[in-house]
Amino acid sequence: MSIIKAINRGLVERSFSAEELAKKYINSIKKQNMEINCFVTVTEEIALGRAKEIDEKTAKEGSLSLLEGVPYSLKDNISTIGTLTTCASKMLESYQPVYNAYVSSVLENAGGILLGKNNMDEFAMGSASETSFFGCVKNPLDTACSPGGSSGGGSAAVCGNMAVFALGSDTGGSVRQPASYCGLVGLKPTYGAVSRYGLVAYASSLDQIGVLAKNAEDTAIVFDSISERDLQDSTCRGFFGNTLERLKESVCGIKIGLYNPSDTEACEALEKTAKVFESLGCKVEEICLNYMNEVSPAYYIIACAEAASNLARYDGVRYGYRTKKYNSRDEMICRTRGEGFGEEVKKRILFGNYVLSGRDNLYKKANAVRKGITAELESLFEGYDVILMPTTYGTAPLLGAKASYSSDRFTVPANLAGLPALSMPCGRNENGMPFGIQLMGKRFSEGLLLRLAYKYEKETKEEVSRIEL
Amino acid sequence: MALTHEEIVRLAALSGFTVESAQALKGEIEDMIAFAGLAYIADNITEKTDVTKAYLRADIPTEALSRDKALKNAPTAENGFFLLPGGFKK
Repeated sequence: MSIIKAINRGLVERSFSAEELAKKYINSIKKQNMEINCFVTVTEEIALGRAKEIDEKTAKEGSLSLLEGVPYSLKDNISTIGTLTTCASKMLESYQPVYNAYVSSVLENAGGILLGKNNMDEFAMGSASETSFFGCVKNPLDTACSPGGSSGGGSAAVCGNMAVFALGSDTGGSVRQPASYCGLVGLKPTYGAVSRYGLVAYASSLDQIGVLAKNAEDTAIVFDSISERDLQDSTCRGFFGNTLERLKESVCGIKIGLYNPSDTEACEALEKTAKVFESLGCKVEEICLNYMNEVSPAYYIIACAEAASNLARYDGVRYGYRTKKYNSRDEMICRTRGEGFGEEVKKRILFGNYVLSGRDNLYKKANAVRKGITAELESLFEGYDVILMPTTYGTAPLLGAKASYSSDRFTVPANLAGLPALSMPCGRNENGMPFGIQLMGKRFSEGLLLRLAYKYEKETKEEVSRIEL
Repeated sequence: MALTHEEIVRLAALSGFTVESAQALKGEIEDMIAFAGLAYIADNITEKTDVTKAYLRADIPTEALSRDKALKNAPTAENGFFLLPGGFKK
Protein backbone atom coordinates (compact mmCIF):
# COMPACT_ATOMS: atom_id res chain seq x y z
CA MET A 1 0.00 0.00 0.00
CA SER A 2 1.30 3.39 -0.97
CA ILE A 3 1.91 5.69 1.99
CA ILE A 4 1.79 8.70 -0.33
CA LYS A 5 -1.63 7.68 -1.64
CA ALA A 6 -2.87 7.03 1.91
CA ILE A 7 -1.70 10.52 2.94
CA ASN A 8 -3.39 12.03 -0.11
CA ARG A 9 -6.65 10.33 0.75
CA GLY A 10 -6.40 11.37 4.40
CA LEU A 11 -5.76 15.00 3.48
CA VAL A 12 -8.55 15.20 0.90
CA GLU A 13 -11.04 13.50 3.24
CA ARG A 14 -9.85 15.81 6.04
CA SER A 15 -9.01 12.85 8.32
CA PHE A 16 -5.95 14.88 9.28
CA SER A 17 -4.44 18.14 8.12
CA ALA A 18 -1.11 18.68 6.39
CA GLU A 19 -0.03 20.68 9.44
CA GLU A 20 -0.87 17.81 11.80
CA LEU A 21 1.02 15.41 9.58
CA ALA A 22 4.06 17.68 9.33
CA LYS A 23 4.04 18.14 13.13
CA LYS A 24 3.87 14.38 13.60
CA TYR A 25 6.98 13.88 11.47
CA ILE A 26 8.81 16.82 13.05
CA ASN A 27 8.07 15.40 16.51
CA SER A 28 9.40 12.05 15.33
CA ILE A 29 12.60 13.80 14.23
CA LYS A 30 12.90 15.68 17.53
CA LYS A 31 12.42 12.45 19.45
CA GLN A 32 14.93 10.36 17.51
CA ASN A 33 17.47 12.64 15.88
CA MET A 34 19.63 13.11 18.98
CA GLU A 35 20.47 9.43 18.77
CA ILE A 36 20.06 8.53 15.09
CA ASN A 37 21.67 11.81 13.86
CA CYS A 38 20.10 11.52 10.42
CA PHE A 39 19.27 15.23 10.01
CA VAL A 40 21.88 17.98 9.79
CA THR A 41 19.20 20.68 9.41
CA VAL A 42 15.50 20.54 10.31
CA THR A 43 13.39 23.09 8.43
CA GLU A 44 10.52 23.15 10.91
CA GLU A 45 9.31 26.69 10.24
CA ILE A 46 9.36 26.29 6.47
CA ALA A 47 7.63 22.91 6.73
CA LEU A 48 4.81 24.16 8.92
CA GLY A 49 4.34 27.24 6.74
CA ARG A 50 4.06 25.07 3.63
CA ALA A 51 1.71 22.67 5.41
CA LYS A 52 -0.65 25.54 6.28
CA GLU A 53 -0.69 26.59 2.63
CA ILE A 54 -1.61 23.05 1.62
CA ASP A 55 -4.43 22.98 4.17
CA GLU A 56 -5.79 26.27 2.83
CA LYS A 57 -5.66 24.87 -0.69
CA THR A 58 -7.46 21.68 0.38
CA ALA A 59 -10.21 23.72 2.02
CA LYS A 60 -10.61 25.82 -1.11
CA GLU A 61 -10.24 23.23 -3.87
CA GLY A 62 -11.06 19.91 -2.21
CA SER A 63 -8.43 18.01 -4.16
CA LEU A 64 -4.68 17.66 -4.07
CA SER A 65 -2.03 16.20 -6.34
CA LEU A 66 -0.21 13.18 -4.96
CA LEU A 67 2.84 14.86 -3.44
CA GLU A 68 1.01 17.83 -1.92
CA GLY A 69 1.39 17.75 1.85
CA VAL A 70 3.79 14.79 1.82
CA PRO A 71 6.75 15.24 4.22
CA TYR A 72 10.14 14.36 2.75
CA SER A 73 13.82 15.06 3.22
CA LEU A 74 16.83 15.72 0.99
CA LYS A 75 20.42 14.58 1.22
CA ASP A 76 22.59 17.49 2.27
CA ASN A 77 24.40 17.63 -1.06
CA ILE A 78 21.22 18.69 -2.89
CA SER A 79 21.07 22.48 -3.08
CA THR A 80 18.23 24.27 -1.33
CA ILE A 81 18.03 28.01 -1.70
CA GLY A 82 18.52 29.78 1.62
CA THR A 83 18.79 26.51 3.55
CA LEU A 84 22.14 25.10 4.62
CA THR A 85 23.64 22.59 2.18
CA THR A 86 26.73 21.32 3.96
CA CYS A 87 27.64 18.05 2.22
CA ALA A 88 28.32 17.02 5.84
CA SER A 89 31.63 18.88 5.61
CA LYS A 90 33.32 21.57 7.65
CA MET A 91 34.17 23.08 4.25
CA LEU A 92 30.49 23.95 3.64
CA GLU A 93 29.34 24.13 7.26
CA SER A 94 27.65 27.49 6.77
CA TYR A 95 26.99 27.42 3.02
CA GLN A 96 23.54 28.54 1.90
CA PRO A 97 23.00 28.03 -1.84
CA VAL A 98 21.68 30.92 -3.89
CA TYR A 99 19.74 28.58 -6.17
CA ASN A 100 17.71 25.40 -5.85
CA ALA A 101 18.67 22.05 -7.30
CA TYR A 102 16.25 21.02 -10.07
CA VAL A 103 14.79 18.27 -7.88
CA SER A 104 14.38 20.67 -4.94
CA SER A 105 12.33 23.02 -7.11
CA VAL A 106 10.27 20.17 -8.57
CA LEU A 107 9.33 18.76 -5.18
CA GLU A 108 8.63 22.21 -3.79
CA ASN A 109 6.40 23.05 -6.75
CA ALA A 110 4.67 19.68 -6.40
CA GLY A 111 3.63 20.69 -2.88
CA GLY A 112 5.93 18.38 -0.91
CA ILE A 113 6.84 19.43 2.63
CA LEU A 114 10.61 19.59 3.08
CA LEU A 115 11.39 18.54 6.65
CA GLY A 116 15.14 19.02 6.46
CA LYS A 117 18.50 17.97 5.12
CA ASN A 118 19.92 14.53 5.78
CA ASN A 119 23.31 13.68 7.20
CA MET A 120 25.63 11.74 4.90
CA ASP A 121 29.22 10.75 4.34
CA GLU A 122 31.29 13.89 3.72
CA PHE A 123 30.87 14.86 0.05
CA ALA A 124 29.21 11.42 -0.42
CA MET A 125 32.56 9.69 0.08
CA GLY A 126 31.97 6.61 2.18
CA SER A 127 29.65 3.68 2.61
CA ALA A 128 28.64 3.82 6.28
CA SER A 129 27.72 7.49 6.91
CA GLU A 130 30.63 7.66 9.32
CA THR A 131 32.78 10.28 7.58
CA SER A 132 30.36 13.16 8.28
CA PHE A 133 31.73 16.27 10.00
CA PHE A 134 28.52 16.17 12.07
CA GLY A 135 29.08 12.67 13.43
CA CYS A 136 27.97 9.25 12.29
CA VAL A 137 24.39 8.19 11.53
CA LYS A 138 22.87 5.18 13.31
CA ASN A 139 20.51 2.58 11.90
CA PRO A 140 17.02 2.89 13.48
CA LEU A 141 16.60 -0.90 13.21
CA ASP A 142 19.65 -1.46 15.41
CA THR A 143 21.54 1.57 16.65
CA ALA A 144 24.76 -0.41 16.94
CA CYS A 145 24.70 -0.79 13.16
CA SER A 146 25.36 1.52 10.25
CA PRO A 147 22.44 2.66 8.08
CA GLY A 148 24.79 2.42 5.09
CA GLY A 149 26.09 5.29 3.03
CA SER A 150 26.62 7.67 1.70
CA SER A 151 22.86 8.45 1.78
CA GLY A 152 22.59 6.93 5.27
CA GLY A 153 20.79 9.95 6.74
CA GLY A 154 17.99 9.62 4.19
CA SER A 155 17.63 5.87 4.65
CA ALA A 156 17.59 6.24 8.45
CA ALA A 157 15.01 9.05 8.22
CA VAL A 158 12.61 7.01 6.08
CA CYS A 159 13.21 3.81 8.02
CA GLY A 160 12.62 5.60 11.35
CA ASN A 161 9.40 7.30 10.17
CA MET A 162 11.04 10.71 10.11
CA ALA A 163 10.20 11.25 6.43
CA VAL A 164 7.88 9.55 3.96
CA PHE A 165 10.60 9.49 1.34
CA ALA A 166 14.04 10.93 0.82
CA LEU A 167 16.19 11.82 -2.14
CA GLY A 168 19.81 10.74 -2.08
CA SER A 169 22.63 10.56 -4.58
CA ASP A 170 24.12 7.34 -5.91
CA THR A 171 27.66 7.42 -7.30
CA GLY A 172 28.62 3.81 -6.58
CA GLY A 173 25.61 2.46 -4.68
CA SER A 174 24.94 5.25 -2.19
CA VAL A 175 21.16 4.97 -2.49
CA ARG A 176 20.80 1.21 -2.98
CA GLN A 177 23.19 0.07 -0.24
CA PRO A 178 21.59 2.18 2.55
CA ALA A 179 18.16 1.09 1.28
CA SER A 180 19.31 -2.50 1.66
CA TYR A 181 20.62 -1.96 5.21
CA CYS A 182 17.43 -0.18 6.32
CA GLY A 183 14.84 -2.44 4.64
CA LEU A 184 13.76 0.11 2.04
CA VAL A 185 13.33 0.39 -1.69
CA GLY A 186 16.16 2.41 -3.24
CA LEU A 187 16.17 3.42 -6.89
CA LYS A 188 19.20 4.64 -8.82
CA PRO A 189 17.76 5.87 -12.11
CA THR A 190 19.43 5.66 -15.52
CA TYR A 191 22.24 8.21 -15.92
CA GLY A 192 20.44 11.13 -17.53
CA ALA A 193 16.95 10.31 -16.30
CA VAL A 194 17.04 12.81 -13.42
CA SER A 195 18.68 16.22 -13.56
CA ARG A 196 21.83 16.64 -11.49
CA TYR A 197 21.53 20.43 -11.59
CA GLY A 198 22.27 21.67 -8.08
CA LEU A 199 23.60 18.34 -6.85
CA VAL A 200 27.04 19.06 -5.41
CA ALA A 201 29.32 17.07 -7.70
CA TYR A 202 31.41 14.12 -6.52
CA ALA A 203 32.05 12.15 -9.72
CA SER A 204 30.04 13.72 -12.51
CA SER A 205 29.98 10.76 -14.92
CA LEU A 206 28.67 8.46 -12.17
CA ASP A 207 26.50 10.65 -9.91
CA GLN A 208 22.74 10.25 -10.13
CA ILE A 209 19.97 11.42 -7.81
CA GLY A 210 17.84 8.54 -6.52
CA VAL A 211 14.80 7.79 -4.37
CA LEU A 212 14.52 6.09 -0.97
CA ALA A 213 11.02 5.00 0.07
CA LYS A 214 9.21 2.22 1.90
CA ASN A 215 7.64 0.57 -1.12
CA ALA A 216 7.77 0.41 -4.90
CA GLU A 217 4.62 2.46 -5.46
CA ASP A 218 5.89 5.45 -3.47
CA THR A 219 9.22 5.17 -5.25
CA ALA A 220 7.39 5.26 -8.60
CA ILE A 221 5.37 8.33 -7.62
CA VAL A 222 8.50 10.25 -6.61
CA PHE A 223 10.56 9.07 -9.58
CA ASP A 224 7.83 10.11 -12.02
CA SER A 225 7.75 13.58 -10.50
CA ILE A 226 11.51 14.25 -10.62
CA SER A 227 12.44 12.64 -13.94
CA GLU A 228 11.55 15.27 -16.50
CA ARG A 229 14.02 16.71 -18.96
CA ASP A 230 16.01 19.64 -17.59
CA LEU A 231 18.12 21.78 -19.91
CA GLN A 232 20.21 23.00 -16.99
CA ASP A 233 21.91 19.58 -16.91
CA SER A 234 23.45 18.82 -20.28
CA THR A 235 23.37 15.08 -19.60
CA CYS A 236 19.68 15.01 -18.61
CA ARG A 237 17.33 13.54 -21.16
CA GLY A 238 14.53 12.88 -18.69
CA PHE A 239 12.33 9.81 -18.55
CA PHE A 240 9.54 9.40 -21.05
CA GLY A 241 6.55 7.58 -19.66
CA ASN A 242 4.79 7.01 -16.41
CA THR A 243 6.00 4.18 -14.20
CA LEU A 244 3.07 4.47 -11.76
CA GLU A 245 0.41 3.83 -14.39
CA ARG A 246 2.05 0.59 -15.51
CA LEU A 247 2.95 -0.69 -12.04
CA LYS A 248 0.16 -3.25 -11.94
CA GLU A 249 0.78 -4.79 -15.35
CA SER A 250 1.79 -8.44 -15.51
CA VAL A 251 5.42 -9.50 -15.31
CA CYS A 252 4.66 -12.89 -16.83
CA GLY A 253 7.29 -13.85 -19.42
CA ILE A 254 9.94 -11.42 -18.16
CA LYS A 255 13.40 -12.96 -18.53
CA ILE A 256 15.61 -12.60 -15.47
CA GLY A 257 19.33 -13.33 -15.37
CA LEU A 258 20.30 -14.42 -11.85
CA TYR A 259 23.79 -13.55 -10.64
CA ASN A 260 24.17 -15.26 -7.29
CA PRO A 261 27.77 -15.51 -6.07
CA SER A 262 28.09 -18.03 -3.25
CA ASP A 263 30.14 -15.77 -0.97
CA THR A 264 27.29 -13.51 0.19
CA GLU A 265 24.98 -13.82 3.20
CA ALA A 266 22.08 -12.96 0.90
CA CYS A 267 22.60 -16.10 -1.21
CA GLU A 268 19.60 -17.95 0.21
CA ALA A 269 17.38 -14.87 0.21
CA LEU A 270 18.27 -14.32 -3.42
CA GLU A 271 17.29 -17.88 -4.35
CA LYS A 272 13.95 -17.44 -2.58
CA THR A 273 13.38 -14.17 -4.41
CA ALA A 274 14.12 -15.85 -7.74
CA LYS A 275 11.50 -18.49 -6.91
CA VAL A 276 8.93 -15.79 -6.17
CA PHE A 277 9.57 -14.25 -9.58
CA GLU A 278 9.25 -17.69 -11.18
CA SER A 279 5.89 -18.11 -9.45
CA LEU A 280 4.85 -14.81 -11.05
CA GLY A 281 5.60 -16.22 -14.50
CA CYS A 282 9.11 -14.85 -14.97
CA LYS A 283 11.81 -17.01 -16.52
CA VAL A 284 14.94 -17.15 -14.37
CA GLU A 285 18.33 -18.39 -15.53
CA GLU A 286 21.71 -18.21 -13.82
CA ILE A 287 24.29 -15.96 -15.48
CA CYS A 288 27.97 -15.09 -15.04
CA LEU A 289 29.50 -11.62 -14.89
CA ASN A 290 33.16 -11.60 -15.88
CA TYR A 291 34.28 -8.19 -14.66
CA MET A 292 33.15 -8.32 -11.04
CA ASN A 293 36.68 -8.42 -9.64
CA GLU A 294 37.69 -5.38 -11.65
CA VAL A 295 34.67 -3.09 -11.25
CA SER A 296 35.49 -1.77 -7.77
CA PRO A 297 39.10 -0.78 -8.58
CA ALA A 298 37.87 0.83 -11.82
CA TYR A 299 35.16 2.67 -9.92
CA TYR A 300 37.60 4.09 -7.37
CA ILE A 301 40.00 5.21 -10.08
CA ILE A 302 37.32 7.05 -12.08
CA ALA A 303 35.41 8.43 -9.08
CA CYS A 304 38.53 9.75 -7.32
CA ALA A 305 39.94 11.28 -10.51
CA GLU A 306 36.68 13.14 -11.08
CA ALA A 307 36.46 14.08 -7.39
CA ALA A 308 39.97 15.56 -7.45
CA SER A 309 38.83 17.81 -10.26
CA ASN A 310 35.38 18.62 -8.85
CA LEU A 311 36.62 19.42 -5.36
CA ALA A 312 39.41 21.71 -6.57
CA ARG A 313 36.87 24.54 -6.39
CA TYR A 314 36.94 24.58 -2.57
CA ASP A 315 39.74 27.05 -2.06
CA GLY A 316 38.26 29.43 0.51
CA VAL A 317 37.84 32.21 -2.06
CA ARG A 318 34.26 32.19 -3.33
CA TYR A 319 32.35 30.25 -0.68
CA GLY A 320 32.82 27.86 2.16
CA TYR A 321 35.34 27.63 4.96
CA ARG A 322 38.49 29.76 5.06
CA THR A 323 41.34 29.21 7.50
CA LYS A 324 42.02 31.98 10.01
CA LYS A 325 45.82 31.78 9.92
CA TYR A 326 47.74 32.50 6.74
CA ASN A 327 50.45 34.74 5.40
CA SER A 328 49.97 34.29 1.68
CA ARG A 329 47.31 33.27 -0.82
CA ASP A 330 48.89 29.84 -1.44
CA GLU A 331 49.13 29.15 2.28
CA MET A 332 45.51 30.25 2.70
CA ILE A 333 44.36 27.74 0.08
CA CYS A 334 46.42 24.82 1.44
CA ARG A 335 45.43 25.42 5.05
CA THR A 336 41.78 25.98 4.10
CA ARG A 337 41.63 22.66 2.25
CA GLY A 338 43.62 20.84 4.91
CA GLU A 339 41.38 22.07 7.71
CA GLY A 340 38.10 22.06 5.77
CA PHE A 341 38.15 18.52 4.38
CA GLY A 342 38.05 15.32 6.43
CA GLU A 343 40.58 12.52 6.06
CA GLU A 344 38.50 10.37 3.68
CA VAL A 345 37.98 13.28 1.29
CA LYS A 346 41.64 14.28 1.39
CA LYS A 347 42.69 10.69 0.73
CA ARG A 348 40.45 10.42 -2.33
CA ILE A 349 41.60 13.79 -3.71
CA LEU A 350 45.26 12.79 -3.32
CA PHE A 351 44.63 9.42 -4.95
CA GLY A 352 42.60 11.11 -7.70
CA ASN A 353 45.50 13.42 -8.47
CA TYR A 354 47.84 10.42 -8.52
CA VAL A 355 45.53 8.92 -11.17
CA LEU A 356 45.27 12.18 -13.12
CA SER A 357 49.02 12.60 -13.18
CA GLY A 358 49.04 9.60 -15.50
CA ARG A 359 50.79 7.13 -13.22
CA ASP A 360 50.49 3.43 -14.10
CA ASN A 361 47.96 4.19 -16.86
CA LEU A 362 45.31 3.69 -14.18
CA TYR A 363 42.70 5.96 -15.75
CA LYS A 364 43.06 4.24 -19.12
CA LYS A 365 42.78 0.82 -17.50
CA ALA A 366 39.72 1.84 -15.51
CA ASN A 367 37.98 3.15 -18.60
CA ALA A 368 38.75 -0.11 -20.37
CA VAL A 369 37.07 -2.00 -17.52
CA ARG A 370 34.16 0.46 -17.67
CA LYS A 371 33.70 -0.23 -21.36
CA GLY A 372 34.08 -3.94 -20.70
CA ILE A 373 31.36 -4.18 -18.06
CA THR A 374 29.11 -1.89 -20.13
CA ALA A 375 29.53 -4.09 -23.21
CA GLU A 376 29.00 -7.26 -21.18
CA LEU A 377 25.80 -5.94 -19.61
CA GLU A 378 24.47 -4.73 -22.97
CA SER A 379 25.15 -8.14 -24.42
CA LEU A 380 23.34 -9.81 -21.51
CA PHE A 381 20.36 -7.50 -21.96
CA GLU A 382 19.92 -8.86 -25.47
CA GLY A 383 18.81 -12.11 -23.83
CA TYR A 384 17.42 -10.93 -20.50
CA ASP A 385 15.14 -8.11 -19.42
CA VAL A 386 16.68 -7.65 -15.98
CA ILE A 387 19.53 -8.97 -13.87
CA LEU A 388 18.82 -10.08 -10.31
CA MET A 389 21.78 -9.92 -7.93
CA PRO A 390 22.67 -9.06 -4.33
CA THR A 391 22.86 -5.40 -3.32
CA THR A 392 25.51 -6.06 -0.67
CA TYR A 393 27.41 -8.95 0.88
CA GLY A 394 25.10 -9.07 3.87
CA THR A 395 23.08 -7.05 6.35
CA ALA A 396 24.10 -3.74 7.94
CA PRO A 397 27.58 -3.90 9.50
CA LEU A 398 28.36 -2.67 12.99
CA LEU A 399 29.34 0.98 13.24
CA GLY A 400 33.10 1.31 13.13
CA ALA A 401 33.62 -1.88 11.12
CA LYS A 402 36.16 -1.28 8.38
CA ALA A 403 34.61 -1.82 4.95
CA SER A 404 36.75 -3.31 2.22
CA TYR A 405 37.16 -1.38 -1.03
CA SER A 406 35.41 -4.17 -2.91
CA SER A 407 32.30 -4.15 -0.68
CA ASP A 408 30.43 -2.16 -3.33
CA ARG A 409 31.21 -4.51 -6.22
CA PHE A 410 27.52 -5.38 -6.73
CA THR A 411 26.35 -1.78 -6.95
CA VAL A 412 29.08 -0.06 -8.98
CA PRO A 413 28.39 -1.83 -12.33
CA ALA A 414 25.12 0.10 -12.72
CA ASN A 415 26.96 3.40 -12.20
CA LEU A 416 29.82 2.52 -14.51
CA ALA A 417 27.37 1.51 -17.25
CA GLY A 418 24.82 4.28 -16.53
CA LEU A 419 22.03 1.73 -16.01
CA PRO A 420 19.03 1.88 -13.67
CA ALA A 421 19.09 -0.38 -10.62
CA LEU A 422 16.78 -0.87 -7.68
CA SER A 423 17.35 -2.44 -4.28
CA MET A 424 14.40 -3.93 -2.45
CA PRO A 425 14.12 -5.80 0.84
CA CYS A 426 13.89 -9.59 0.68
CA GLY A 427 13.67 -11.07 4.15
CA ARG A 428 15.73 -10.69 7.29
CA ASN A 429 18.49 -12.54 9.08
CA GLU A 430 18.16 -14.16 12.52
CA ASN A 431 18.71 -10.75 14.19
CA GLY A 432 15.88 -9.17 12.24
CA MET A 433 18.12 -7.11 10.00
CA PRO A 434 16.99 -6.85 6.37
CA PHE A 435 18.64 -8.25 3.28
CA GLY A 436 18.46 -6.30 0.06
CA ILE A 437 18.45 -7.67 -3.45
CA GLN A 438 19.06 -5.68 -6.57
CA LEU A 439 17.35 -5.53 -9.95
CA MET A 440 19.33 -3.95 -12.77
CA GLY A 441 17.84 -3.22 -16.18
CA LYS A 442 18.41 -1.68 -19.57
CA ARG A 443 18.61 2.08 -19.89
CA PHE A 444 15.30 3.72 -19.00
CA SER A 445 13.76 0.46 -17.81
CA GLU A 446 12.84 1.95 -14.42
CA GLY A 447 9.19 1.07 -15.09
CA LEU A 448 9.97 -2.63 -15.34
CA LEU A 449 12.21 -2.61 -12.24
CA LEU A 450 9.51 -0.89 -10.20
CA ARG A 451 6.83 -3.23 -11.57
CA LEU A 452 8.85 -6.29 -10.54
CA ALA A 453 9.45 -4.82 -7.09
CA TYR A 454 5.74 -4.00 -6.74
CA LYS A 455 4.69 -7.51 -7.76
CA TYR A 456 7.25 -9.01 -5.37
CA GLU A 457 5.89 -6.91 -2.49
CA LYS A 458 2.32 -7.96 -3.27
CA GLU A 459 3.26 -11.61 -3.55
CA THR A 460 5.31 -11.75 -0.36
CA LYS A 461 3.50 -9.07 1.69
CA GLU A 462 7.03 -7.76 2.26
CA GLU A 463 5.82 -4.19 2.46
CA VAL A 464 3.04 -4.60 5.05
CA SER A 465 5.28 -4.53 8.10
CA ARG A 466 6.94 -1.35 6.89
CA ILE A 467 3.90 0.89 6.75
CA GLU A 468 3.17 3.14 9.70
CA LEU A 469 1.19 6.32 9.43
CA MET B 1 53.98 0.28 -3.85
CA ALA B 2 55.75 2.86 -1.73
CA LEU B 3 55.44 6.55 -2.59
CA THR B 4 58.66 8.55 -2.40
CA HIS B 5 58.85 11.86 -0.54
CA GLU B 6 59.11 13.67 -3.89
CA GLU B 7 55.90 12.03 -5.05
CA ILE B 8 54.10 13.04 -1.86
CA VAL B 9 55.31 16.63 -2.32
CA ARG B 10 54.03 16.61 -5.90
CA LEU B 11 50.64 15.11 -4.96
CA ALA B 12 50.25 17.66 -2.16
CA ALA B 13 50.93 20.49 -4.62
CA LEU B 14 48.50 19.07 -7.19
CA SER B 15 45.83 18.65 -4.51
CA GLY B 16 46.25 22.01 -2.80
CA PHE B 17 47.26 20.44 0.53
CA THR B 18 50.23 20.96 2.77
CA VAL B 19 52.94 18.32 2.50
CA GLU B 20 52.31 17.36 6.13
CA SER B 21 48.64 16.56 5.52
CA ALA B 22 49.52 14.49 2.43
CA GLN B 23 52.31 12.71 4.29
CA ALA B 24 49.88 11.74 7.07
CA LEU B 25 47.79 9.82 4.52
CA LYS B 26 50.71 8.16 2.71
CA GLY B 27 49.91 4.61 3.88
CA GLU B 28 46.25 4.85 2.92
CA ILE B 29 47.04 6.27 -0.52
CA GLU B 30 49.47 3.40 -1.09
CA ASP B 31 46.69 0.95 -0.16
CA MET B 32 44.39 2.61 -2.70
CA ILE B 33 47.07 2.45 -5.39
CA ALA B 34 47.59 -1.25 -4.68
CA PHE B 35 43.82 -1.88 -4.89
CA ALA B 36 43.55 0.15 -8.09
CA GLY B 37 46.20 -2.10 -9.63
CA LEU B 38 43.56 -4.85 -9.78
CA ALA B 39 41.94 -3.03 -12.69
CA TYR B 40 43.40 -4.26 -15.95
CA ILE B 41 43.01 -3.56 -19.64
CA ALA B 42 40.29 -5.79 -20.93
CA ASP B 43 40.92 -7.13 -24.44
CA ASN B 44 38.48 -7.35 -27.34
CA ILE B 45 35.88 -4.99 -25.96
CA THR B 46 33.09 -4.26 -28.40
CA GLU B 47 31.96 -0.84 -27.32
CA LYS B 48 28.39 -0.05 -28.37
CA THR B 49 27.73 3.02 -26.30
CA ASP B 50 29.62 5.43 -24.13
CA VAL B 51 27.69 6.78 -21.17
CA THR B 52 29.73 9.94 -21.13
CA LYS B 53 28.69 10.83 -24.68
CA ALA B 54 25.00 10.09 -24.43
CA TYR B 55 22.23 12.68 -24.54
CA LEU B 56 24.31 15.83 -24.81
CA ARG B 57 22.40 18.96 -25.67
CA ALA B 58 23.74 22.02 -27.41
CA ASP B 59 25.97 24.16 -25.20
CA ILE B 60 23.77 27.23 -24.88
CA PRO B 61 24.83 29.96 -22.45
CA THR B 62 22.34 30.63 -19.69
CA GLU B 63 21.88 33.56 -17.38
CA ALA B 64 24.75 33.82 -14.90
CA LEU B 65 24.41 34.49 -11.18
CA SER B 66 24.10 38.14 -10.26
CA ARG B 67 27.12 39.75 -8.59
CA ASP B 68 25.27 39.90 -5.26
CA LYS B 69 24.39 36.22 -5.39
CA ALA B 70 27.89 35.21 -6.44
CA LEU B 71 29.36 37.11 -3.50
CA LYS B 72 26.77 36.03 -0.94
CA ASN B 73 28.79 33.11 0.44
CA ALA B 74 32.26 34.62 -0.02
CA PRO B 75 34.36 34.54 3.17
CA THR B 76 35.51 38.10 2.38
CA ALA B 77 34.39 40.56 -0.30
CA GLU B 78 34.96 44.25 -0.96
CA ASN B 79 33.47 46.71 -3.45
CA GLY B 80 31.72 43.91 -5.33
CA PHE B 81 34.79 41.69 -5.63
CA PHE B 82 36.12 38.59 -3.86
CA LEU B 83 38.81 39.71 -1.43
CA LEU B 84 42.01 37.67 -1.34
CA PRO B 85 45.39 37.95 0.32
CA GLY B 86 47.84 39.59 -2.09
CA GLY B 87 49.65 37.45 -4.65
CA PHE B 88 52.68 39.73 -4.82
CA LYS B 89 54.96 40.86 -2.05
CA LYS B 90 55.25 44.61 -1.56
